[in-house]
Amino acid sequence: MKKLLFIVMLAFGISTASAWNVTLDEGILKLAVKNLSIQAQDELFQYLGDNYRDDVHYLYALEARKKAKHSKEIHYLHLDSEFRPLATTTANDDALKAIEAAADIVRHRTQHPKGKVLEALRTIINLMCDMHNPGHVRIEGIPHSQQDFTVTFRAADMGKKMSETKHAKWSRFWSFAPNGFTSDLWVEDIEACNGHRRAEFSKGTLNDWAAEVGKFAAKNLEEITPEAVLTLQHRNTLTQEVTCDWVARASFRLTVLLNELFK
Amino acid sequence: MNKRLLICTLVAVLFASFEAQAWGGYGHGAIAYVAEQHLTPEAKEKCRHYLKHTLPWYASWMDHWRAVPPFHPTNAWHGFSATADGQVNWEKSNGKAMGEIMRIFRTMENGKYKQLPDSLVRHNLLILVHALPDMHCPVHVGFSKKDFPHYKYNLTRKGKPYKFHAFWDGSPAFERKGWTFERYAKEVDKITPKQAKKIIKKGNFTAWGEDIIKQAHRCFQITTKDKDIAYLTAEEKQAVHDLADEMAMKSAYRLAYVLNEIFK
Repeated sequence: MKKLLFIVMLAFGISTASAWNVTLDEGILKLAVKNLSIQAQDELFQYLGDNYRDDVHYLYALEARKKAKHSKEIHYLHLDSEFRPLATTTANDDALKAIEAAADIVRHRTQHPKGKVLEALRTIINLMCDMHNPGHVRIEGIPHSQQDFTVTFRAADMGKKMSETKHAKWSRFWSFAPNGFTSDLWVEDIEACNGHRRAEFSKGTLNDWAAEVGKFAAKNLEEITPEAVLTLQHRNTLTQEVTCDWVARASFRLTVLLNELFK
Repeated sequence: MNKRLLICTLVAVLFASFEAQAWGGYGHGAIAYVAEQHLTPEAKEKCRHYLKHTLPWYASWMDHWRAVPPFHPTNAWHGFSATADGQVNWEKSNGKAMGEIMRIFRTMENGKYKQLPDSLVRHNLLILVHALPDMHCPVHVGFSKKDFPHYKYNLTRKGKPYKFHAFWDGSPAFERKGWTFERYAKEVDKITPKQAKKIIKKGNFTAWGEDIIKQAHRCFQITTKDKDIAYLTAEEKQAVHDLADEMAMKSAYRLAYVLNEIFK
């Protein structure tokens, strides 16, 4: 049964390690860098190496090596019922606060060793991707957002094979990455899908962006509960047609933030 | 239940036995990627305009939506039938891939797409991007049990039963773990302009169908009933890749041709 579940997860391109897979996050970063001002690009390249894969999942890599000083909750937004940052979290266990703390280090980079600035940049990159994944939001007053749960969806009633009930973890539900996609292809796809909405998606502040993800997640969590069985149509629409908008937001907003930090 | 509904249901149930991921998600994406490299700038721009994504993004769209109620009829559009003498069985092809692709092409070619609502053009493109490559998959040619009773068998993998259909569906990715679409295009798309011309056959769909049927027989010669796919020889593995890649490239070039013709 476990083997079957694993195959189902693979078939749907679900990463087992993170919010979005490393290739997608690499694509988000590549596009963000492409859209940066020349000045910001020049500054950024003083810190980042050629291999973006080391940067985009920096925090996950620390966790895998058991060298993380942060909690795994750092990959999640924690919001109150009005979608404002929760007062009780810190930069060690909340994406937004960790991004703010890291941004502060980059903003005052001349006062910090280069390694610390690089670490801060990698934290920003990793968490800007994570915080735009609607499956990575904890919202006060929504109990099933407080921990991961299994989303169940049913294929249509067309014989035994087609009526199988399939499952995905909520934290990894917002993912549609066809096997074989490269980060360059992601860049092309994000531009094809949402390039024209860059200005629209770039508006706002970190808090606005967090609130927007929170509101969207809350709306979906009304229907998507541990008990609910989604239709295949519902699942396909969200994962194939909506996820890409959040991927684009992550990339365009990473550009905004890095441009601001390096201006 | 009226007779028409009953027939539709039976057709749908019969085709439910087709594997859900023909050519596999990887194979479809790789083929769409290669096809996109051969689009004219105009066709590429139009595809992006209507689809709002790259072709590989939607390469498996029909597989993902075939089980959603409004799309049940498309469940029969992933392959086509052959006659005993190697022709497209048009009597059985209504509503199947070949018939649908031709119908879509005829309603969209020579600028006729401009007269259709954007949503219909988009929907037609989603079908073309998947169904045209799908019908090139050797196991998506329907050989009748009456004419080819010896074609109905399964393989083994490390001694355990393994579906013949599933093996060939996944053949572009066979022993190519981690290959990206770009790598597939780089290593497999070595078609010369002269070969491309031969593949396209001036857009003769009937000739495409006959060619697909002819090549489809090869899979039964390569993976015969006694084969265990875990222990294929180097020559046999090469034969699997040769057939899979040949059909994948033909489908990619023909898909690009169809899209270029529609948007020229």
